[in-house]
Amino acid sequence: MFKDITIGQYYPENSIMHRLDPRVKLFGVVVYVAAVFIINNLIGFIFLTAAIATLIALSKVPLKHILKGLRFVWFLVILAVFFNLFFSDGTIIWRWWIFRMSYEGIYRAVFFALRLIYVIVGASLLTYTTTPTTLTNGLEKVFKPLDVIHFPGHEIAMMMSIALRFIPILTEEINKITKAQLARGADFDTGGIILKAKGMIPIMVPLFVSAFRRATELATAMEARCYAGGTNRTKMFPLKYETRDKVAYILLFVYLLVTIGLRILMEHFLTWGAI
Amino acid sequence: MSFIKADRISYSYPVIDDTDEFDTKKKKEETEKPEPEKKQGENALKDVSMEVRQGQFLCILGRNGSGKSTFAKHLNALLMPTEGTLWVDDIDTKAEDQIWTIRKTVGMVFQNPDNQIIGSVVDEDVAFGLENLGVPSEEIQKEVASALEGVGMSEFAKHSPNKLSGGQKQRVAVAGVLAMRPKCIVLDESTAMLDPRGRREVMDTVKKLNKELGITIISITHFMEETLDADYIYVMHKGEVALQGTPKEIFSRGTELYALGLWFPQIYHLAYILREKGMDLPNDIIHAAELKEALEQKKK
Amino acid sequence: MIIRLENVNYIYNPGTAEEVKAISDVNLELGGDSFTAIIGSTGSGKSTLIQMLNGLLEPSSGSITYDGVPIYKEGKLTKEEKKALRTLRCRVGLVFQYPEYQLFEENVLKDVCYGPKNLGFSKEEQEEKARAALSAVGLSENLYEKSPFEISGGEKRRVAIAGVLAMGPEVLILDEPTAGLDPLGKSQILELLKKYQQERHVTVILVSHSMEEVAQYADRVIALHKAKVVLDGSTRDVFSHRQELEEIGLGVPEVCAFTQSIGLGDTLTVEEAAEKILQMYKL
Repeated sequence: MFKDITIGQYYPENSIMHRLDPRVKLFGVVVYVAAVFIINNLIGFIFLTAAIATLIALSKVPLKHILKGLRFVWFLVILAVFFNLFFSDGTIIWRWWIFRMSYEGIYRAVFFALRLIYVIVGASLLTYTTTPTTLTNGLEKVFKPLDVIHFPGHEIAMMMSIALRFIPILTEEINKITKAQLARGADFDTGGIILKAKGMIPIMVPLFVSAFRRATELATAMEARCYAGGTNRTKMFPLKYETRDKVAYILLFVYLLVTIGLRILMEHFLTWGAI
Repeated sequence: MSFIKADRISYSYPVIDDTDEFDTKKKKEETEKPEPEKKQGENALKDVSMEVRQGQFLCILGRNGSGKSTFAKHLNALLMPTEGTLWVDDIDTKAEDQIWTIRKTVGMVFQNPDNQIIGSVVDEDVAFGLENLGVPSEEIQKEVASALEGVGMSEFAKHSPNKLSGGQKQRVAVAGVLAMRPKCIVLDESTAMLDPRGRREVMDTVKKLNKELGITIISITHFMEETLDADYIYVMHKGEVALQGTPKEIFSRGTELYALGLWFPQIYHLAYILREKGMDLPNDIIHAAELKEALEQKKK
Repeated sequence: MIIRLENVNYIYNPGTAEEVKAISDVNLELGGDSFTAIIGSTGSGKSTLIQMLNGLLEPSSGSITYDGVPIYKEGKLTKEEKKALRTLRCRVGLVFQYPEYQLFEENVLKDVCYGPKNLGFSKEEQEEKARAALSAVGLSENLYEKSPFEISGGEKRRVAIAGVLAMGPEVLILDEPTAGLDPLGKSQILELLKKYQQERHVTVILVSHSMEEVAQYADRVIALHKAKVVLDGSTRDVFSHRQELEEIGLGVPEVCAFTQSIGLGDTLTVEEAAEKILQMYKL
């Protein structure tokens, strides 16, 4: 059931995108998502497409792999397009029963779909090129300044990385328990929704018991290895900015300014190509 | 001078008392620790005295629920005795300001390989303890590399622990402890969930560490064959030390061992039956070679 | 019941880069009045094989028949066939490794009733079967009302085995039922299995890593290596192939290796070895 999910799974490669500091990449995603929503014209989209295409090329992640990951969001895209396409008001060009189509609707549908796809592609590029651990390290560091207001940045990062480590273990566990109950004649197929939900108890109870047992044992193991929270901890591979990271920051700033500038320019001086 | 000295220690799992607002959360955690057969308030350890010298290979035998895991948790101050005193490297484990020194000195490897690996990459997991101690990065990298080499897992440094075999996972756990340069490693039934090959891998690794680096090993197990090469054995029963001695001394008290719910190794068992049937054999035979020699001498 | 496997293959992730052949061209006949052991190192295909035996995994190719009746047909299973598959899972009982992790009910008795309940027995019949199974695994009545989470590890294990026994399987398969138990706990489980097998003349199939256990309890041994059956025969016969067993990462019981080393041939148990040695010395 969970086997086919490629979206968000780290894609091992040795590229400049993989080597960039996770903080840069996190910042990049923020800039990129902001840009996707700031852009309201064709030139901006061409510019954006060029940018993301370059990044994908640099990452060495095959385009096919990225598009394959999109499979699971097509449904969302189609749903959004459907509502925008047939239920928007404006200059109506076609009408049937409760459906109506307008120029504005078409525009909105197309660009909504584009925005959604662009956001997903951009965000997934982050997870394709960054291991979960590096990502959590990045997040921990990003949240570090919030220590003054007692924001539990380290704890959140630690929880995330433990969760990531245990997802495959618990998935495997669900599988095992399901089989064990099937071997005791359990029937998970027939019956209505209530009967089915009740049928899940023999899986859920052992799963929770096991998850709690694992959590207790893990806590003991962490304590035994001198874990005492985030204070005074060091890192084996501390995050350090290289020249490429600084260059990337500058490029991101420039890109953000250009996008904003373009929008202002479009709104005030030009009318063609506006969305 | 003994490295670890337990002087008549007793321990009882605390009873949850709602009126006691002091540290109830901690108590709850402790009572939920995996020893379900332990009733709250019942003595899990009674008057246990042990002595371990630096560099020894020690085994603690006993049935499930005999208190051996509870004792193990005392060795690195995960639990403190309710009565008596435990010294580790001359430090009383109740000294709260010394807790990190103790945990650094005595490393623990637990039973379930999946529930003690924290990192999602092998080398990151090995580094966990050193990171907690605030060791500088370059030093961590060096220690991690040498610890992985020590357990023969260098080539897996960048692998995900999820793809490793049980024996390999436990060796990573040993490396995680080894990186902190401990004087002693406690194996709390670390081989119980492994297949024979994994068990051999782990035991060979710790034996090597014992011989080459002089690290004290305390192995808690119920695989009798793992205890044959030990320097000394303690047998626990119902929270008490029931027997103690060298492997030969322990196994020569066969029937007592049997009464404690423990089996003896096949070769010892064979020699035991032969003696019962009237054959004149020394009563401390535990290795195949010894029995072979004894039988050959009889031929002459 | 006789289970017959003909040219059975099982492939994980077929058609991908991670394709693994877990079972390759296996022909076997299992069942009858026998205590059979399946041995093999980790990854040899043992757990895939036993899951196929009770219909949890469908072979990629080849046929499995139960007393001559196949359970898989071409195409999607009909409702009746699904039901037949469920019934089969009860005729061929499978106890997984660490089965105590599947316990979920509020008390021991109810948990053991789960299997018979799934088979559609009345409440009285469920309890009757559960009580019989619990007494077969040697658990005393004062535990029946206890939560399965507050009894000892060895007791939990026996409750879980009773949960499968209560369905009255003709073939009982156990994947390392003694893993993680102390010596006394181990021998208790094995003794009760042996007693169960001998009293009912059913088939018990034991997957084990311990050659000592296998030599002492099994009458037939099947050795798997790299997805194939490499040895299959009586226990004595299989343990006479010491070299082959060592090549596939297994071996023979310590006592067997010992009697071989002093020229007394194969022995399966300590008692047998003692007898042979005593004979040699004419005592």
